[in-house]
Amino acid sequence: MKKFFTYILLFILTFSFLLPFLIMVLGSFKEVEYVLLDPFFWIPNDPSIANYTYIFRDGIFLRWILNSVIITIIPVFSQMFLCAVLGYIFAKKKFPGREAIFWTFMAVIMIPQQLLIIPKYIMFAQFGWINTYWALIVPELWGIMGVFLIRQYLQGIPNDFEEAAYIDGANDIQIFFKIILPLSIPVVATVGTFSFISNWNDLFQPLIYMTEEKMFPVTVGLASLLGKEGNFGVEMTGSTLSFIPTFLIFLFFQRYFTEGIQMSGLK
Amino acid sequence: MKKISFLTLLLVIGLVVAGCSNDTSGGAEGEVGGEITVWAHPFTGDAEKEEEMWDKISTSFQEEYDAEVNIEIIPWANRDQKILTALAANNGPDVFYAIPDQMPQYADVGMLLELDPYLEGYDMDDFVDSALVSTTWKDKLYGLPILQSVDTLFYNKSVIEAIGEDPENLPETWKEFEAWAVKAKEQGFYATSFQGGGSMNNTLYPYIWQAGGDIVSADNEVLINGEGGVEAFSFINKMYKNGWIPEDSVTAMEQNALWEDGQMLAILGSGNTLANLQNKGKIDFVIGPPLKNKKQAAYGTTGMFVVPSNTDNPATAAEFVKTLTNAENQRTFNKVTQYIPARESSKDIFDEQPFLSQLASYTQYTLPGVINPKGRDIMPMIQAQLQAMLEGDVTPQEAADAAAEAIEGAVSQ
Repeated sequence: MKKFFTYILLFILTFSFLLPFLIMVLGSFKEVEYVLLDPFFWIPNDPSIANYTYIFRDGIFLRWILNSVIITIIPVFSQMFLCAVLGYIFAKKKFPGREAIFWTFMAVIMIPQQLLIIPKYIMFAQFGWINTYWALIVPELWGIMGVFLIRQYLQGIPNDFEEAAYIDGANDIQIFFKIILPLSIPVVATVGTFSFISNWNDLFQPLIYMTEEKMFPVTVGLASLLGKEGNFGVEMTGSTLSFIPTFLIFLFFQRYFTEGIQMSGLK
Repeated sequence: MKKISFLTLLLVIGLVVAGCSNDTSGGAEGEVGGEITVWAHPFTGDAEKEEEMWDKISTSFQEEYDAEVNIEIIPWANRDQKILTALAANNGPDVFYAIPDQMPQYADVGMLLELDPYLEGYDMDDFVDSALVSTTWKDKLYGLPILQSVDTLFYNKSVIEAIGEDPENLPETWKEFEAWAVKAKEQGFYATSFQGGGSMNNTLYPYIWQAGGDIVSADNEVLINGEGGVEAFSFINKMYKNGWIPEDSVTAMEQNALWEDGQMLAILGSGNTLANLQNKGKIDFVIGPPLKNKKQAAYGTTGMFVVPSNTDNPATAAEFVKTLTNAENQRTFNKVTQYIPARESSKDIFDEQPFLSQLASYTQYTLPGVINPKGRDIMPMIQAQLQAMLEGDVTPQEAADAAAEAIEGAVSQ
């Protein structure tokens, strides 16, 4: 009986978490512009792919997807590699000022992004980077949060592995690629997932740096499709399409994701 | 608060940039030609139709002038940040869309080009007077209007009949409306909506204007606790205490459910309300005129196109704004967006649409909110006092005085 109530409770919780996604997916098949009084208005009586046809009508949406992929995938791989290298250095290498440098980097996180946007914009405008991928890729090539995660994770790995490799004649690069990196896969995957989610979903920065429609990523492109009053059907369709890659990434990497979070102490 | 601070920071930087830019306020300079970039927004949900519309408008300009126009559609989200960041970096558009509370903020720090020197021989008389109020700051014109909207009362015909009144003879004054409200309450209906958690433009301000008062002048003279202001506070208080407006009016953001459920005599609405009602076809409605006590007035926004002062092509930008807002292009633009043209002659696009035509006839009574650089900042201060009054913590006079004090503090900074 106790088990029965536990399942009922779990079912209710699961359903309440899934409901927004259900509304999003089903709503995308409903041709409705306004949110109506009926609480179940999002259930399509007469399912239609009109919203999908509208979004894909002239191929520009595919271009937005491509842009999102470019400005996401490059930083993902770059962050996974560079954060692993820097995390390793800050966790295992001893050099003067190590802690000071690391915590100075960490302090940068405290500065709100909005305050940096104007200096960055001016700099990028001088570089000729406005309306180019560079403005969105270069600042994301590494991130201090990723370094922090990997550093925390590596601090939990005994130095014996490294020392044994040194005795066997391995140099730093070999130790990094053959010992440290394989041991860090869960946390590196977590950093990659974080990077993917933050870059894929970022609206603010692309909105500021991109003005040409063909350079919009999906987030900005979808926002540009919406009139002042919005459009429920189109919003739900765009959200569904935009959600799929994030969902797949999480699905494939969820094991590493949770493992990495646990082992880096960020529970 | 964080957002306001960020915008303030951007405006300060904008001021510095404007100070460093060429001063073009002395007269119309330069030849029309070259290339300009225009930032507009998605006004409808139909990108294809809008693209055709912009092509048509750009072509009409390019046929007359040897100049290239790039129209870039910028999402509404974070538009202030985007525009101000780009302008601060001297990398912004040559023309952009603005609304009435933005214009004085930008104009006050010198970020906008004064358009008067470019308007010689241009037909200004055709513009609706109330539209030009929104584009003028300290007697200088900084933008040309393209669209207007009006907020007025939409009445449910079934409720009108239930209270024994005539839908052909709608209230025009506060007194007449009060008589209807009493009957509505007796029959178990709310008289109207009041979204105390929303913008003051749709709640307190119209009542203040109708009572012959104002909020704050362009010269920072605080008027909200004048006779008209106090009368408006009192009228709203009376509506709440008598149950003419819903119980959640203190903080409500919307009350559509009550309206759609047929529990409300009238709802304050605009062109969007009309489109919504027509789409659903559920409620038989009539549109009433803006109410008056001492003066007939309503809130209505005005959309305009402005030119930043640091554009490197002011003559072409100004000429494009003139072309864009001429009678023909107002027709083209507003046919697609279904807003009300800001020129009298262009309103003929609604000849076949009686409701829109009726709404268009009311734009002469509209005011665009508070035209003051602090217009946005003071709204939450006034709202807090209005809510305190509705909660019964202060009298209408005290609420108006406290709001006036808060405004004094804000405008004197």
